[in-house]
Amino acid sequence: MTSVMEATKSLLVFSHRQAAQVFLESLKTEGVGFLNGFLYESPQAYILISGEHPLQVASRIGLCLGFLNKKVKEVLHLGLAMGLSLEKGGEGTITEARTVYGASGLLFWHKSFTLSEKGYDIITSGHRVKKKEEIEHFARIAPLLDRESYSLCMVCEETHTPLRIFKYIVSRESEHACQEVKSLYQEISLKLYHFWLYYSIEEKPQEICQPPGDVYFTTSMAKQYEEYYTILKERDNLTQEEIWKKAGLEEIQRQKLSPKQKGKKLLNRLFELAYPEEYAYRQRFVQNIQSLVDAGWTVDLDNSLRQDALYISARIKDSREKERLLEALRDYHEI
Amino acid sequence: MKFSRILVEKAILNENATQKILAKLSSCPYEVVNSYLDYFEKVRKPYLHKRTNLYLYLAQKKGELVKEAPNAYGTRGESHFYYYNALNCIYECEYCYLQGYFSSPDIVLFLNHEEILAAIEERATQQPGRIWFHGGEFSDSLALAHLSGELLLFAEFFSKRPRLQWELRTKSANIRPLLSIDPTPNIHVSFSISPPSLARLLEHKAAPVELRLRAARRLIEKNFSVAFHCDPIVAQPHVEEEYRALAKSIAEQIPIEAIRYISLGALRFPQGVYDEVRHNYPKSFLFHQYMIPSQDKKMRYRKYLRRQLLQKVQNAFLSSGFLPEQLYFCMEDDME
Ligand code: SF4
Repeated sequence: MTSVMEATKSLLVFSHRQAAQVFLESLKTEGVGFLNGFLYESPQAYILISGEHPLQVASRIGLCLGFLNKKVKEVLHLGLAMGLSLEKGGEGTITEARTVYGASGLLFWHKSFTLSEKGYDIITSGHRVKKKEEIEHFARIAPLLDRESYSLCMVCEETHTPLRIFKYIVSRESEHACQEVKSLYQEISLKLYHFWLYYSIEEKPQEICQPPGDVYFTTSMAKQYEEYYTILKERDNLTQEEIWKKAGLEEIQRQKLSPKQKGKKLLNRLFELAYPEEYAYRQRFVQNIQSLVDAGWTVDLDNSLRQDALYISARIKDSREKERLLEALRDYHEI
Repeated sequence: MKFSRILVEKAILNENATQKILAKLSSCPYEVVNSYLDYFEKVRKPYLHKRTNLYLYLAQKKGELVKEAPNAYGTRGESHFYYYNALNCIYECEYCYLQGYFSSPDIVLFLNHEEILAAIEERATQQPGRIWFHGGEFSDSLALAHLSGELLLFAEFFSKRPRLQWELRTKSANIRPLLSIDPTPNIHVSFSISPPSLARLLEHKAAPVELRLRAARRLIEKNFSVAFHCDPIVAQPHVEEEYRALAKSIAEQIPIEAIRYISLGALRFPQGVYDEVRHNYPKSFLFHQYMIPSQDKKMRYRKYLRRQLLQKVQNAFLSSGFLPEQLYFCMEDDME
């Protein structure tokens, strides 16, 4: 869990140095290690200048997350996007990206990334979009266009790093856009800075309260924990304290076990609370099987009872054994 | 219902059916495209975007227009097919399998109705005996019927072919397009129903169950053949009481003998749909009971639980005067 405790700073990602200018000047930044030149650190945050070409963005953010090795609690991208459909464009405002789509040429990439429940959808293009037909084509999928979001999504998904994207919207007239952006960079950088500093980016409420640091979950265990926790909260109306109390968290914490073993114990208890009928069913089934094992049978059974087949082997010696076997099979058939 | 964008295929822009729909939705501007396939499912559009950003495509269906239905679908011993007249639905049922079926919630209406009927005819000639053709496998059959406007044409087709059975499945009460039809015995309408309290929790935007029952009664009065699907049945503590109340309420409004059948099916999902539903509705009441992958790879309750559940619901109907032969278990091959 040490890595979790270290992960206290956000990584702010900008495509262009000019957009980051006010941040670099105001936050007392210093270049970081061999990535000096595009990665900076300040007491409040890390700052990465990613470039805007999708490959460059992917390699820089990948390098950077690898180098910082879990010191990043979340990635916040503060960038620019072109408003494709005027009624939704909201030029001059800053909006959060909801779902990010991608395309190269006129072909869309099927995978998409949903980052937020609110905000505008955005499409990342692998090439610079200038022609009217291209703009219309992309506008049918999303109201905003940029060049970097998709790469950020891909890398952050791979590295399980939380990501949020905020975009300053510039006008859709592509031929003016570059000019407009260049002359406005100072102002845009200031707006992004104020946005980050003041309105900021409301913390997303954490619905699932993680247990204390001496209980460790792997990714798949964390998923199960979320499932059981949600059921107990929603179905049984339990608070976080009540859930932990019922699960005997304190008692588990006192035991001389590794953090992961404690995590397993906690999960078992939560499973029993979330699915009592299923728990009882498994107990009964396992007892039944145990009687076969005691009689010298080999029984191959996975813990979750979520497999298609049950492997049993032994020689049937007498009718009592046959009965036992049939009983176990009947029981299994009920699954 | 409000669409955020309408995309129309160039080839059908000037068709009557297209123009009628565009006129009815005149407050929403439309754009002309070559093919709906250039956009629909080209990117993975999250299911819940249907709440705020739902597109309507007006298109022609090419390729397979009629498809064989899986075993255990509908009544036994007869052939069942469904035809493609639309994809996706304006309602939002939390258990809807369409959310894992298409990678976009956008609605597609296929307006080449004559070609769909020709495909039905062709299928029918290859098969002796009674054959069923179902609408609504990939959408709700009636929810948008006032827009899509194919029902009269289809009714005329089926009324001349008594061997072919036509079934419309719905969770709407949108029966007005049917009222001008003179029903023949091979035209069937079935309503999916649940206890009202559950429907309110799980079937967002669909017609309230009370209205579905009223619509069913009107159709029966007009001599339509009407059936009900109690599917999915979701495990919950008061299942028997809830279904008893539902059965009673049906029996009070509709002559029992006029109901063709009531199918009963326990909650189940193909694995991909299960994951998608969990993702979209992590807090849903649907997940309060444990589910496992069963032999057919669908996520289901354990068999003992399914048996209990279906028996309770069956009892609820039997004790309200329904006949055993009116009730059948759907998609539960080894349950009887
Ligand atoms: S009515 Fe049917 S098709 Fe529509 S959302 Fe509900 S389950 Fe899905």
